Amino acid sequence: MKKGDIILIGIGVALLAFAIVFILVRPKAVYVAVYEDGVLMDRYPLNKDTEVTIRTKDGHWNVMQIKDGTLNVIEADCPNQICVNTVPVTKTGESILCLPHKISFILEQ
Amino acid sequence: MSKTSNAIRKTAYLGSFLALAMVLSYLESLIPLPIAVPGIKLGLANGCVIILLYVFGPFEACSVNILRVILTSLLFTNLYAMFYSLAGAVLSLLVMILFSKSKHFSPIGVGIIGGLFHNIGQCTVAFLVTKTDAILGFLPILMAAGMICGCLTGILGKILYPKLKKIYSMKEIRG
Ligand SMILES: [Zn+2]
Repeated sequence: MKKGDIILIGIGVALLAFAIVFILVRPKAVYVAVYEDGVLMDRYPLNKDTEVTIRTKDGHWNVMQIKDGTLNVIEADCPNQICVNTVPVTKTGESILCLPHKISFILEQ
Repeated sequence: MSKTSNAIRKTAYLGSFLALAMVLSYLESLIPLPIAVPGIKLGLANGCVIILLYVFGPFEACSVNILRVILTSLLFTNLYAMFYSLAGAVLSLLVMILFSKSKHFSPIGVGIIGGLFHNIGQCTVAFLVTKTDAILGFLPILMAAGMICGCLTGILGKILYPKLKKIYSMKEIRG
């Protein structure tokens, strides 16, 4: 272990502490904004349980579910399924992304 | 010992490292991570890259790592995954090469910085593709996670490096 390693470990520990506080102080989100290719498509309030199929311009789809104030993507026809495997989100600033479809679901105030 | 047999030995050695890195990548792909960014992972294969960096040098480490990303993508996932994970792989490799040249860092520090920049690379891809700052909310935790995983792979590299170097040079003496 060298001096540079110890400095990096120190930075890592500080960053981890910051990240945990950053997550804890985040307020609950009010609505979810859906963007396709950086353009706002629609907003949905988080206090109303619903299931919506988002269709992209080139005919692909993601099914998003709002339940008890949390957002989840439950189904999609994208090749990597990362959006489906992402954990449900509930706080402001959190998001679920589908890179193959250029879709982002962002929780906002 | 002839130059040719040395080259053959090196090729075989690098080939077995490539196979090992691919197995590690594959094992890792079986563990689903609850994170919003493609290509974010533990980076076990980076342990192999760190060892190659120290035993041979940047060129060999680069070649094996890029081949690993291409081959594992073709075999186990798809082209999308390849382009997304190349960004992180290339960025982390460049930074690791730089830091391994410095006297102030051991393989552990090199692993930490590699893990950090791997995730910074993946977040940049997410930012560029979605054209939104959606990933910003996850950036601090992804950076910290990258450093922790990188530290573990660095320790792995540090433990295995002397043993693997010995195997390589032992063969040379026997030949
Ligand atoms: Zn998706």
